[in-house]
Amino acid sequence: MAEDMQTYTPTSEERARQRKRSVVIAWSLVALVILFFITTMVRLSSNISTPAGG
Amino acid sequence: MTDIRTDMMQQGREAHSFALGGKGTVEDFWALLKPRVMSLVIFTAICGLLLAPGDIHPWTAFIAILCIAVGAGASGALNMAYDADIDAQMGRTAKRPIPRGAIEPGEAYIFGITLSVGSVVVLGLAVNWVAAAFLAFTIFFYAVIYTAYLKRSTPQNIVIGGAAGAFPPMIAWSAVTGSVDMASVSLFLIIFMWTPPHFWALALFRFGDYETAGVPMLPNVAGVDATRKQIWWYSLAMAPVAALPVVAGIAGWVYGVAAFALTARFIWHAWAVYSLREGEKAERAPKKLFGYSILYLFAIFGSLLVDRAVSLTGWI
Repeated sequence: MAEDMQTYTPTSEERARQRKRSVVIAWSLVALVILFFITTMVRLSSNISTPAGG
Repeated sequence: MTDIRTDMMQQGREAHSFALGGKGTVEDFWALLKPRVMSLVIFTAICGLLLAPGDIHPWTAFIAILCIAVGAGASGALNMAYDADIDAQMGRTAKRPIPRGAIEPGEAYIFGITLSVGSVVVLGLAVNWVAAAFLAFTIFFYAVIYTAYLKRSTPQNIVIGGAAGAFPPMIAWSAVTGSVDMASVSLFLIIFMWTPPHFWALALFRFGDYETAGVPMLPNVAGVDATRKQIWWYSLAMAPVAALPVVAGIAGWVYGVAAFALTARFIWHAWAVYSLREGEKAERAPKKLFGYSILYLFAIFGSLLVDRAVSLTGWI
């Protein structure tokens, strides 16, 4: 039983689902990077236009 | 021999799936977020954001709405993880990903907690920490106070728990202002008072489901007639609450007229639920009220936006 679990190989359908989940996670991470980049730019530009103490 | 090996392989596969999950599709994980509930949350949050006084950069506003939506979805995932046993017994929820066996509760917990933490942290860093703290409290209130405690212990579950669904416009408001005030509380109260008649109407025609699952909804504990009476009183109480945005100064007469007409129609449906006790019409009345209540919430918040647009453009 333990040996079977160690040598477990997912079915082709399970592989396809796993691949699709991985693709969505990858795109989500790319979206997060873009989101953080734009947010940083927006905050930086607002700090430049209204500097601290100004 | 081959049969035995195949059987062992199958057992190994099932044990593996049980232990690690990994069977769910992207659509299953999307369903965990309760997208229909999320759409209502997004809409009411956008209203809160647009009605709040002060300026917010459009990108920051987008981040705020995104975080509120993700936080709401995370709450839904945590709710489904905890309620998998109840969901499996009710026709309305039996096909959700966890009772269907597509996603393991552990996967849903990890998914929900990750999104909760992510949405709160991003809201705090990108917008402000008042809104982030508010979002964190809302997720906690829905996932722990409502789901883990209230839902299974009291027929007042959705009265108190309804607060979780009423917070999103207040969170969005605090994303703009960094604070909470009476005007934002008026938006909260509209959803808060709307929640009991909305869910009790559902509970009236899904009576058997809740009975089977042992969820102490009002019709199962206090009886159908008592629930009808409560729906009627709560619907009447919605009238002054619907007028609060005008009193608080965030809406004018355009909203006032719309709110009056929409709430009058709500009360009319509630009266049908209360007064019709037997026959086909009596059976249909809670379904009609439930359907109308969804439209009502969209329409009343939509009329707040129309009112604001009218006042900004100076048409009237």
